[in-house]
Amino acid sequence: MSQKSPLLNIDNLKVHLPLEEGVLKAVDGLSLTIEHGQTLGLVGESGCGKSMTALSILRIAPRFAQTSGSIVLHPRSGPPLDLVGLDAEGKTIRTIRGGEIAMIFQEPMTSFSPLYTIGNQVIEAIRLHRTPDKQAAREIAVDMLERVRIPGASQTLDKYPQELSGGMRQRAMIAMALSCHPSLLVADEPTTALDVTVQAQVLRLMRDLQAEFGMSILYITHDLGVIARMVSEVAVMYLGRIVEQASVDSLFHAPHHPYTQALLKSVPRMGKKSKRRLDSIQGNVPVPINTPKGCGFFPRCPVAIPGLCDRVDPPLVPVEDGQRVRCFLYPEVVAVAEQQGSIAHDVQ
Amino acid sequence: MDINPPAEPKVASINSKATNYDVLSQRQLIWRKFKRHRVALLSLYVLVILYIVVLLAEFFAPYGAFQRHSQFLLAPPTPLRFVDEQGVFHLRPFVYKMTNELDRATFQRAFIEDTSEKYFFQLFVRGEPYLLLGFINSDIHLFGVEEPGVFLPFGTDSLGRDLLSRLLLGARTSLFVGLIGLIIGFVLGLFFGGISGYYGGSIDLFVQRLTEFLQSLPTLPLWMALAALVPAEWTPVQVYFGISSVLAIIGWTSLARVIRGKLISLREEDYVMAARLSGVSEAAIITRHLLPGFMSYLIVHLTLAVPQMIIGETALSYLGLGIRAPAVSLGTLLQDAQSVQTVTLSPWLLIPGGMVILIVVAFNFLGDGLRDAADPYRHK
Amino acid sequence: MGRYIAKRFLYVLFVLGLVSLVVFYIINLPPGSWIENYALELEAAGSPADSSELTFLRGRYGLDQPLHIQYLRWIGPLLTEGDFGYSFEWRQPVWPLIADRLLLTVVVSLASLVFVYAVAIPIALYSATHQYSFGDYLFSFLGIFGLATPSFLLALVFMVIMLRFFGVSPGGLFSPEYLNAPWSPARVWDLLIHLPVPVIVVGTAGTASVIRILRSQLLDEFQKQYVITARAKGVSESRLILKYPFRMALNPIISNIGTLLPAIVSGSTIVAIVLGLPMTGPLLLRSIIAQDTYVAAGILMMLSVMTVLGVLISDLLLAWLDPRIRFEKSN
Ligand SMILES: Nc1ncnc2c1ncn2[C@@H]1O[C@H](COP(=O)(O)OP(=O)(O)OP(=O)(O)O)[C@@H](O)[C@H]1O
Ligand SMILES: [Mg+2]
Repeated sequence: MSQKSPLLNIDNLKVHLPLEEGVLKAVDGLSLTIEHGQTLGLVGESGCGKSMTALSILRIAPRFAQTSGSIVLHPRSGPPLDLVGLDAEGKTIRTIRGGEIAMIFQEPMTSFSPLYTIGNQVIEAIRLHRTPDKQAAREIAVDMLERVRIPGASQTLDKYPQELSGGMRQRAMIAMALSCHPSLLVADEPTTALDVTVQAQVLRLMRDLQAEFGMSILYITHDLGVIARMVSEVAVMYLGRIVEQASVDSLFHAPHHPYTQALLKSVPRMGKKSKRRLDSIQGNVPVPINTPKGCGFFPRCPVAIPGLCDRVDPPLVPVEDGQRVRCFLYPEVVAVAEQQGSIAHDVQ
Repeated sequence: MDINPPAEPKVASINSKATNYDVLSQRQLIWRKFKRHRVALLSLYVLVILYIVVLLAEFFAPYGAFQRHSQFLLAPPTPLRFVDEQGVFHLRPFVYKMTNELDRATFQRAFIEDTSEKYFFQLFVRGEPYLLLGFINSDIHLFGVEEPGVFLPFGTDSLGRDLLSRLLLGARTSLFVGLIGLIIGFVLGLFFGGISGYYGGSIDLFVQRLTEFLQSLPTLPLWMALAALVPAEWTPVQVYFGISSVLAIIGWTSLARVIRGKLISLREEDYVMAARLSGVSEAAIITRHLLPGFMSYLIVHLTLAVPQMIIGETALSYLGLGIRAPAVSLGTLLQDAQSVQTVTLSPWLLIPGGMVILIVVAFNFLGDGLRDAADPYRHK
Repeated sequence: MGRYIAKRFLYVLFVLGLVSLVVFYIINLPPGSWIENYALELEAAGSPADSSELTFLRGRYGLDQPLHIQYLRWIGPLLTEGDFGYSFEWRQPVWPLIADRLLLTVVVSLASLVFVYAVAIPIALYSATHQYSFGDYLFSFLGIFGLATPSFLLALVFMVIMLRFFGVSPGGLFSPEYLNAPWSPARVWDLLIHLPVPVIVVGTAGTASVIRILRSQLLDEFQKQYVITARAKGVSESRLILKYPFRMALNPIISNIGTLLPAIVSGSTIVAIVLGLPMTGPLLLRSIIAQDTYVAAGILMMLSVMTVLGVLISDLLLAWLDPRIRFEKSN
């Protein structure tokens, strides 16, 4: 599926929110590459900055957020474009939103305005990016609704969101997102609010549609079970940055970062009941305000190296073929840090 | 990592909350948050001081509210000076002797300072005797000037009565009519809102319709008609309560709605459900969970209702339908400012209006601050 | 929808019946009556009470009968012939006395309502989209004083300012030459140029409160998921705000007409008294003091009709505009 050409390059992305209590570093130096046709999973605990990353890609993070770093998009036509440099309300980014990059959200219940019909809201997107013609747009909308297997597509268009079930609404949401053939779909926990059977249907639908449209997907979730079914490559996020990135297989079989290991332990194994509260990782998810120096996971890490992990922030370094980790347990990481001079005299 | 937070831990956390974190009570939390709202805190201080001052109005006022200075009809505020004619600075402020002359050109009385006589400012001067708080006999006033000078900080009215002294007395009436009206309205609102929210069904429907009905009527004209019900021969105290009741008769509706709405929503609140499920007794639910959430909410609405009452009283009294002479309220004081000519010539007569605005603004800020503090889930 | 409208109409009729009852009782409750006072006055003046006139009036309106009979004698002609009764003080039927004043009250109130929205909506939109900016603070600050200033005080201050700085008296809705003239285009024009002062005075408090409500509504709406969804579609910011948050915030604003209109009618009553405008306010005050029963009852009744109809209109508007209410009502 993947042709190994980058679609989106995120480099050292920082999204800082100046709040009364201090600066909240929702995303703090995140780097990530999404290839054409790839499905990349982004996992992490609640509050680690997944949604903020997604919103930043579309440049719809809260207005008071300070965004830096770069997000380079390689669009279907035209030269690469750094989205961070664009005016967040400008015309360029608006043609990209919904056109090149589409997004679906967690809350199917509130994602549509209750004041307008589904059709009105789906057609709005189509008219913005594909055709200004109302009739043509409506035909496209009907076609899209059929593709996401909503029964009675044409009548559904004239219904209000509150007349549809959650699953149907999420399908309509997917139809809206895909109606303009985006090259990247950002899916922020699209199935979390749905019940299990509906969840499975929607997941299958998304996979089918991806094959059909050939787009890339950034799939955000904290459900590792879903990750295993949906994606080829996973990035694990902790406190606003990537701590480990690997293919699904390597990640599940040989997790390197202590956080990933703990995360996997908390996942239900085959045979166990799936809806049970699991081992949790010790400690609480820290709020990323005034974070101390050193590795963000240090306070909760069972194998932390005192004197090192609490002082120096490890870099994200490839340790095995394709697998990248941000942890001093691996000599490669220590080597790179030494090279960068960040631990010259600190160690030993 | 929790996939779908299950219901039990929520209950557990509520119980632990009640035991572990009770150290900081809800009230303390609210107070702590409220203190951060500077303007609201300032308003609270202003109001507390105001209530104290008007309660002790006779002491703080330089003169009796009915004492006439026959030489000083419609006199402008007396300037308090530090520097005299010769440019000499006096640490102790003074006023010049005031004389008045008929201006031949305009046929208006003009007040002129006679710089040959100085009267120095004094604290705790003896003056008109009074009965403070109904049981303290005294004739000491907080401030004044040496005899035989007069110091009229806000000028006088057409009968030569000191406006500041009258203002303090008037503010007392208005501030307390508002409170009494509020209490009456509160009782009515609590009753109707309570039965409506508690019993639901047809009682609820009836009360709903009743409040809707009263709210759809034009308030002031109705107040005017109701105020006419207060018999002419009533004593000032009776009139006081009469007017307060008139204001409350319409004022209770919004409170009732608030109470009903809150009761209903509280009943269905997750934490109440959770408490019920985990076997907390009904009484404990009410005192521990319902009342705190409720009281803060109620206080906010009560605070915001006071200014409505005060504006109502002022308007009615201004129209001559509310508080009547000899009683004084901010509204009756403003009656003197009724004609444009008078006000243009004697603009200090509008000072009571400034007082109304100050009081209302302070109550509004206070209410806003309390609301923000009491509602932890509402960002500003 | 049709059933909902019919139900609302029936309800309004019922309410108006109730209003007439309440109004009549309140007006008649104070001890004494105009006729008694008049008789006393005549006696005091030495001339024997003109018993034939008084007897006629007493009989005509059933003044010596119980109150419910009096009510029926009042409401009956009112419903069948539009006869509002007789003004003792003015010695003429009530309707011609109040008709013109009522019309002007309606005009000023509606104009104030329009003024409130015309001013409040753009300011609220500005404040909400420029939260914490200088302009936002300025409008909030002004709003606080707008809310806190009783309209009669504002009217007074307005008068003083106009007189002091512009040398004109703002009183009146007409220039002297049109005051008692029959209606003509010129008179309408004259009314229009006199409207701004009372309209601003009456509308200020309402404007301040609508800005407050609308601003916080908008700020709440800005956080909503569907706004973010729409933004993610590439909808432009201005279009987005109007189509989603603003349109949503409009609903509480429309239902707020129900509270705004009574407030405006109240405000216009007292402002008319202060500014001496030929509206119902001054006449109402005078008739209440003089116990001129039918004038007071007639005015109070008509003012209530105005506000009750306002509530009805806002309800219908809301049902028409908001699909959610439409569903609720049709089920
Ligand atoms: N508008 C905002 N104002 C203040 N803080 C915010 C805001 N939005 C997000 N945050 C904070 O930013 C951090 C990252 O939030 P984000 O929504 O990206 O987390 P997430 O990984 O998507 O979590 P979840 O799994 O719960 O969706 C959190 O600490 C959150 O509290
Ligand atoms: Mg999220």
